[in-house]
Amino acid sequence: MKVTIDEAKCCGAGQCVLVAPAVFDQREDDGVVILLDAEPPAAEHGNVREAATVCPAAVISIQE
Amino acid sequence: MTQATEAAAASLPAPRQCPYAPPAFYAETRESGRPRRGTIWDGSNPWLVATHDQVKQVLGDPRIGADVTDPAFPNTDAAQPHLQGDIFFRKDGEEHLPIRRLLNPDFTVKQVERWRPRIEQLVDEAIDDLLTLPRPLDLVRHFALRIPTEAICELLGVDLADSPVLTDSVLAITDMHAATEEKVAAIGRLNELLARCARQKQEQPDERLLSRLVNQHVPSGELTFDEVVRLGVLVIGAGHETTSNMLGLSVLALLQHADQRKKLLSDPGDYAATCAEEMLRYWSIVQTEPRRFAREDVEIGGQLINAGEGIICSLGAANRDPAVFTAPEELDVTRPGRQHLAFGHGVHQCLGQNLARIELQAALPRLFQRVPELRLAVPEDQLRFRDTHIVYGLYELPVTW
Repeated sequence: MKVTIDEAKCCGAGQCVLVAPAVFDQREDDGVVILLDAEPPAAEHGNVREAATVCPAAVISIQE
Repeated sequence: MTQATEAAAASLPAPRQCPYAPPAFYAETRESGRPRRGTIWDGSNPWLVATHDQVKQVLGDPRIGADVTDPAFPNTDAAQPHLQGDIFFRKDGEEHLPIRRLLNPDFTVKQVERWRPRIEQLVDEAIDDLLTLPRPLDLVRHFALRIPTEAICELLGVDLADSPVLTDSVLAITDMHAATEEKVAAIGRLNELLARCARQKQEQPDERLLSRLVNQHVPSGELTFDEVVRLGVLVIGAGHETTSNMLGLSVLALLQHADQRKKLLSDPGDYAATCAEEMLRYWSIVQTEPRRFAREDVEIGGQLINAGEGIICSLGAANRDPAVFTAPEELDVTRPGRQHLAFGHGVHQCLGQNLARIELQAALPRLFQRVPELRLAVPEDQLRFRDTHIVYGLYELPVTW
């Protein structure tokens, strides 16, 4: 799995951090997403897919 | 044309048939699989969108606008463009996202998590006081309204939690039946209150949100003083009224569903979070919004929506969509997943959602742990629900133990 993010669209709702905290974080100064792991291990794949689904601004793309 | 005219007979917002479910017209629209027209107060005929998939699509589509001052926007009432026309959260694109990002630092997952111990303390203090009061008492006033009000005032850095101006003004602003002049006066009172607080912060800066806005982002030119005041009003208004209604309704639901209460208390460590999400889904308290309009022709659920037409989304109907939720009419505090749209979707999704989550997670199990004999003090059919407000809720929740 390869994860990419489109920072420009991010509204900083933080849903990805709630769902997959090992893969996503937020910048302290504006809440924008930080991708911690662009190739997460299999154990995280379910969480990452859920994060992509609930992301309100469709910032997260996944290649599998 | 005849078909459109027929369908336009339904008046929006539609009335509820049952206080525990969204209006039947919204559920029927969802089941039909297509948007349907309704008629709003000004005689216009926006589209009602009610499936989970279509609501997500509408709220996530950049061709669909949120600007309340656009003539095509299906306003909640005549006052809306006057009250909200110059606030970022009713704007789009560059007028919206950069301002939201100025507020985000106080609402990130990690930042609000730092508030959890303090929120737990506020919950315990409220319960301490409850236990000394004569019974029956109103749990909305003494618990559901108190905790979020204190929390948002502390986060903002203002000493207004006991201010009657605050609560009364917000109530007037969110009542769809209140007169425009009344609403404009109420927002004026709130602006005055927050302007005074913001001036105090200029003299005595601190680390909280209002001080940061007025002392960093006004000098930098990113915001004007008046914008800071309006943001303060928005944060305080949206931050206490929504969560207080969620808390009141959630307590009611747990009183009515003993099995769910038992499940929650059997393992609050696991279920406090799922219970909060389920209550958000089940009640979907934002009952007259989100509203949008098509900037271009768009197709939603096989229906062409023309540029310039209004759209109203039903979060309540979407959150009971059987295509997404198993047994959607049932309350299940162990239900996994976060697919619900109670906080909306798209770039306007609720700014304070992570704070609201923590407040619900902290307050619900704790109340029933400390007051296990809590029960309604009136028959259910005497409860008064806020049917005419943007945000659904209870006027009061009389309880005893």
